[in-house]
Order: sequence, then structure tokens, then C-alpha cells
Amino acid sequence: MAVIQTMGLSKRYKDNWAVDHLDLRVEQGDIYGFIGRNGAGKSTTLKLLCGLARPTRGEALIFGKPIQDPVARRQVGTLIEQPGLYPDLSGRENLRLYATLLGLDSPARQVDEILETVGLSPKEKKPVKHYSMGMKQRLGVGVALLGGPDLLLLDEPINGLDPEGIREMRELLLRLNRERGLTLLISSHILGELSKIATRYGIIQQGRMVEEITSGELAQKCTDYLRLQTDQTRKTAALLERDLHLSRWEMRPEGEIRIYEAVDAKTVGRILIQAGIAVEELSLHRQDLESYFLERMGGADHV
Amino acid sequence: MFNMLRMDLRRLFKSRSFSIILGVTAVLLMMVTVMAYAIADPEMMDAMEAQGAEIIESDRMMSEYIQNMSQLDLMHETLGSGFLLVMTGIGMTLFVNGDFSSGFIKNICCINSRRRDYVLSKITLAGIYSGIITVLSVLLMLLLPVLIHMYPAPDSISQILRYVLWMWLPHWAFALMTLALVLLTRSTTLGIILSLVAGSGLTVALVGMLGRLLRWPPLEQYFLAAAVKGVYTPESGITPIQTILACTLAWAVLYGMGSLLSMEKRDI
Repeated sequence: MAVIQTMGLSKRYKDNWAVDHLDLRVEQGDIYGFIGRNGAGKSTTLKLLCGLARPTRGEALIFGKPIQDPVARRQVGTLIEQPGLYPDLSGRENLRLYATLLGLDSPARQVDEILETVGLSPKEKKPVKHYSMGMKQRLGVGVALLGGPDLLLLDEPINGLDPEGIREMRELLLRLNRERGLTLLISSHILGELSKIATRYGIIQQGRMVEEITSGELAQKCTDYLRLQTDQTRKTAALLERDLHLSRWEMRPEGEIRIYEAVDAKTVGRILIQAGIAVEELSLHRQDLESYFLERMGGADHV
Repeated sequence: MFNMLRMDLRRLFKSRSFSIILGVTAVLLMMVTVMAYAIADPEMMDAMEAQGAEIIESDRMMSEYIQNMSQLDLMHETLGSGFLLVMTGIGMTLFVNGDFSSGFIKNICCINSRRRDYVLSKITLAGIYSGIITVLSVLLMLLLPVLIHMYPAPDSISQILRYVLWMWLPHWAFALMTLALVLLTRSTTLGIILSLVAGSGLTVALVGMLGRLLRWPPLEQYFLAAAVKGVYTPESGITPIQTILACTLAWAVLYGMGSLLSMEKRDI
């Protein structure tokens, strides 16, 4: 089931199309990594999806319902750009206010649970303006989680976090996805971090969706070649050419064989062992994920 | 909408700006009362003159005027000057713009797609806000003179209650003006400036002057600052309610519509 589906979603600011005929699809249980350069239209798309901005054209459905649908809205937790928090109130009070807005039963208990979930103390009394960036970010995720949403829209959730904070946030998001079955749409600039948790990616450039790809497809696409090193290079090459009918391969001067075709590494290993050839190295060389994304996003500048 | 109003009320009573506005209002009223007492007391005037202060005939007339004031005279002399309008306007500006400057408006509008609920909640809150300030100020103006042994001629409770009601309504409408402006501009500075300019009666004076130059009808009398001033006159007591009601209603509708349009048409 598509949790989010957009059809030709577009948003124009004056003469500039921030989002241009965007078709996006997020399935139930996905951790959807939404990637793009600065100004590519990620935040505008998220704003359109949570009703903060109105589309110029096109349509967006959340859980199969228009985004204006109040029932669908309550299933969505959001963290768009900076966390929206009253600076003079404590984190707990901010959550209490949001719980009041949601009309939750036993708000005090739920607020304390959420604070513990995001790793903040319910007893913390200081106002939010004295929180560190990381604490604010966690509290922002806490606000998004309040009310038990089924979908989280998170815009740069690891912004400003230290490495430890990033790891904790990653673990929290993975836990929410696995244990509570939450679907997550996360936009982030930190591609390496995103690639650790995302199950599907959407790459946006100048407001248009360039590519939607699952992590499995991505891994396959990033697999460049099979690297092979044996004690008898020439014999290995001849054997593989004969048995596997290889056409795209090369023998490197340092004695390494690179196979650019899709071949099963296990089969290669079996053939060589049967022929009595000692395998020194047999591995898949992968293209760096970041390089792949940068290439698809239209270059390495300003990412 | 009721959840939103509950949230707004909770925030109102937890917010520092509301306490500060109430505190400043109380302190200023206290200062005005003490000054009025100083002028009204003939012994104080004599003492000041003995110390070399120049006391002229108009000072003595003023002293006599204050001595003969009733509770409502004294109250309206202080509250009808636009001081309460300014405090209400600044308070509402700080409260409403707090949603935008903090970004909490994103949380509100993500969960509730109907922007009119937000405006309705704030309209109700403006009524409560202006009501609290009006009632507090009236209570202080009844209590403070007694505390410093100044006893203006008492007015009946029904008259005081009527005064509270007719003062509250234009203040509510004025709070809606700042609401509309903040929703349109999302600027605290502009909200505060407008509260000062409009609340102090500067716009009334300007429009009046312009009207006389251009031979317009006296439009300025329908402004909220003028309506507040006209709620009560010492000679005839509480003045025709129709004008106040009509002004309040007209401006409230105008500002309410403006607020609604600003919220509906603009992205967050």
C-alpha cells in the first residue's frame, strides 16, 4: 500500500517552480531517503505533504486520502526544517501543549514516555532556549512522535547532532521502523548516514524526481565488477572465458582480473576450486553510494 | 478548534510575556494613581510650593478636579487614554507572533488543516486576553486609590460592570487588529509599532486633521481609540452604546476577515 503518493505535484513561487510535476511513492514500512541539493525542492515537497504549503498543481495522497483529510493528518508526525518549539517553555511543556492540541488522553503519561523514547529527561525544567541543538532536534522528533503517528516526515533530522547523537538518532529511527512499523520519509544531506537506514531512495533535482530506487537496486547498480586474484592468472582467465562465456573482462598488469558482467561469485569460486586454482581474492567492487547520488543529482557542487 | 483554544489558554497562562504585560499594566496604573493622589492632595500641593515648586492656577484647578472625581471618572481618565489599548495590542502581538517566531505554527497547521480554526481560536483568545486586562485594570483602579487613602465618590456596581463591558468590547476588536497585522506580516516589530500608534490615538488625530483639511465627514470618531475614549464622559456617564457596539462589530468583522484571509492565502 502506498503511504504517500504524489501525482504531478507542483509548487511555484513567483517564476520559480520549486517542485515540478513530482511523482513520488512511499510504501508501507519504507524508510525513504529523500535526496537532493540545496534548493532542489525537498523541504517544499515536505511542506506540501504536510499541508503547510498549497500545491500549485497536482495532487498528493497520504494513506490513500487527500492531505487535507483530518484523519490522514493525525497519522502523520512531522519535523520540518527547525523543530517548532516555544523557547521560553520547557521541553515537557512544549510536548504538553502539543498533546493538548491533539486532545490526547492522559497526556502527562504519553509526554513522559515520548521524552524517554527520544532520550530526554521528563524532569528537565530548563526552557528550550537553553537546550543544545541536539536536544532540540530530539525534542522535535518527540513532537513528531506524539499521538502515535504511522508516518514520519523528517526534514534533516540529524542536523546539528554530534556523531554520538547521529548514531542514537539512527538507532531510534530504525527501532521505530522495526518495532512500531512506522514508515519514514527522511530528507538529509548526509548521504552516508542516510544510506545506513534507507530502504528506498528518491532523488530530486530542480523540483523533479530524477530517480526512485530501492536499496537493493541501488546496491546492484553500484556493483561495478567482480575482482579476482589467483595464483595462476592466465589459466584462470582462460577457464572463466571458456566456462562462463565472458565477454567483458580485463586482466590488470598487477595480476588482478576484473569481470564487468553479472556473474555469480559462488560459481566463479567453485569453478576455480575444481580446477585446482588457489583463490587469493574474490570480491565485489562497489561504486561509492555518495558518488552515485552526486552523479544523479547533477554534480558534486553544493550538496 | 476547542483543543487549539485549550492549548492557547494553557500557553497564555504559562507564558512570561502575559505575566509581564499584566505586571507592567499594574505598575503603571499604580504610578498614575500615586501621581493623581499627589496632585489631588492640597497639603501636598502646599508642601511642593513651599519647597519652591511653581504651582499655578491651572494646577490648583486640576487638583480640585481630581478631588471631585468619582471612581469611574478617575478610572476612565486613566484607562480611556489608550493605555490599555497599547498594552492589549502589544500583548496580543507577542502572543500570536510567538507561534510564528518559534515555528510552533508548523506543528499546529500540520495536525489541523482548517486554518479558520486557528483564527477562531485566536479571536476567542483575544477576547479572553482583553477581558483579563480590562477586568484587572478596573479592579486595580478601584483598589489602588483606597490603598493610598484616596476616596473618589463611589459609583454603583452596575455602572462599573457596564463600564467593564463597554471598555472590553473595543479592546477585543483592537486585539483583533494586531492579530490581523501579525498574521499578515508575521512581524512583532510592526505589531508593536501599530499598537503604539493606533492605541495612543495618533491615527485618530491624523485622520481627524486630514478630514478637516479635506472636508470629510468626521470618520475618526469611528476608530477604536475614539470609541474607547467615548465610552464614558464625566458629564453624562456611559455614552450611547450603539456607537461602541457598531464600531466594535465593524472593526472586529473587518479584522477577523483579514486574519482569515491572511491565514488561508499564505503558506506557513
